[in-house]
Amino acid sequence: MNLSDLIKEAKQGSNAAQKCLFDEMSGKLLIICRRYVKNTEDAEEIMLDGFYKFFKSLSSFTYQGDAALFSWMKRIMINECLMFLRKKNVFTIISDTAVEDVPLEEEALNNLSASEIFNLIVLLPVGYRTVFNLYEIEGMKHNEIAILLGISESTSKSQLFKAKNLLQKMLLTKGIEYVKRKSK
Amino acid sequence: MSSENQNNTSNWRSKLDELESLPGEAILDKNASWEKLHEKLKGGKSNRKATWYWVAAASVLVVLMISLLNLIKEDHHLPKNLTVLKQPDKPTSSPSPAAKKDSGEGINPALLETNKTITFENKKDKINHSAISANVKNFIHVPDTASAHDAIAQSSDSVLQPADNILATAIISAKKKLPVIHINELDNSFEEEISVSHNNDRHFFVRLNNRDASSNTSIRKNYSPDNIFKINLSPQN
Repeated sequence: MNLSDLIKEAKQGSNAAQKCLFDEMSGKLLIICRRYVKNTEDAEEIMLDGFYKFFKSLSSFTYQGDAALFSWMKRIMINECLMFLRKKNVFTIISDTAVEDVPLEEEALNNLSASEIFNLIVLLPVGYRTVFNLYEIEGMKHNEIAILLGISESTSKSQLFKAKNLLQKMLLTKGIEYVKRKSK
Repeated sequence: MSSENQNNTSNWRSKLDELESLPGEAILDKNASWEKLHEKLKGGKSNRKATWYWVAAASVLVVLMISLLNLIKEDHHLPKNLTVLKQPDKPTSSPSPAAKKDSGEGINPALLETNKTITFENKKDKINHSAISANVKNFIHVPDTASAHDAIAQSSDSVLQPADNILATAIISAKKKLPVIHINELDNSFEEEISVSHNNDRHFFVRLNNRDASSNTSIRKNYSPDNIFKINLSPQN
């Protein structure tokens, strides 16, 4: 049974279809939540809240493909994560001077495995990690991030700059210096 | 070259998207977490209903508590009110048989009548001061006060009590109302003043630039508001 059929049945109130949708998508969505939140239990709670909202608003949802469904779910989860972080007053970021955008050393990251990249991102401090996730992975702009997190654009830029610098340092300290050399 | 860069750029992101489970952590127990979610989905409506029931029950309890508290307060206040209300009734109660005998023998009957009427007034209405004062005017003139006072002193307290009431009512006087005078009302005081000055038949002389001026009696007699102060000037020879 494909996702569109599952959505149709879930709309009619089928618990089995809802469970199938949950089993299908929960793994990937939990990883997304975990990228924003350090604690796995918190990430699971956030994911369950996201699914709850998804099933509650399913009647207004029109299926337009698997990718659209997944992106919608992803968006719900990210919003839930940001809400959770806002509740914990994580975004008390002191505004910094505006920093020019520094290109990320993508080649160094490309040579790493998925789990290594994930672990590096998770090790970043909350403010750096959130801005890095939103800018580099979700593809948002600085003004959008500033509105979402309630910070200025310059703060968002400086947070990203610092996140990249820290990632660079972590790559060096972890003995992955050869990647950088190779890229040069 | 550019396509290679694009592939490289999206490489690490696609790697992240392809990640199926959390690295270095236990795999998510999907059944357990589904149970949690299922309970949440089921319990949403019932929880809402339950909260509404709880709110309704709490409001009913609050209303009952308030009404009970009010009742308790009223119960506490009632005995005080009763004592206050009963106090004036005590003096007006019927005197003892001994007192009845005394009152019939030694006291002036006119005074006894006044006492009775005033006590009746006190019972009937406590606020009507004008009526009470009128009654006092009628009844307070006792012809033989000295003998009556002696008689009362000898009699019981029950007879004395209304006499105190008389004094109490006599002290209270009705407020005097000042007469209301409108500003635009004109009385005849001005004309009266003029007539007074007219009756005083006075004559005067004034010297102005070597000429004598004198008031004329004919003018003063035929006065009007315009020619009261008219004077005839006669040239000096």
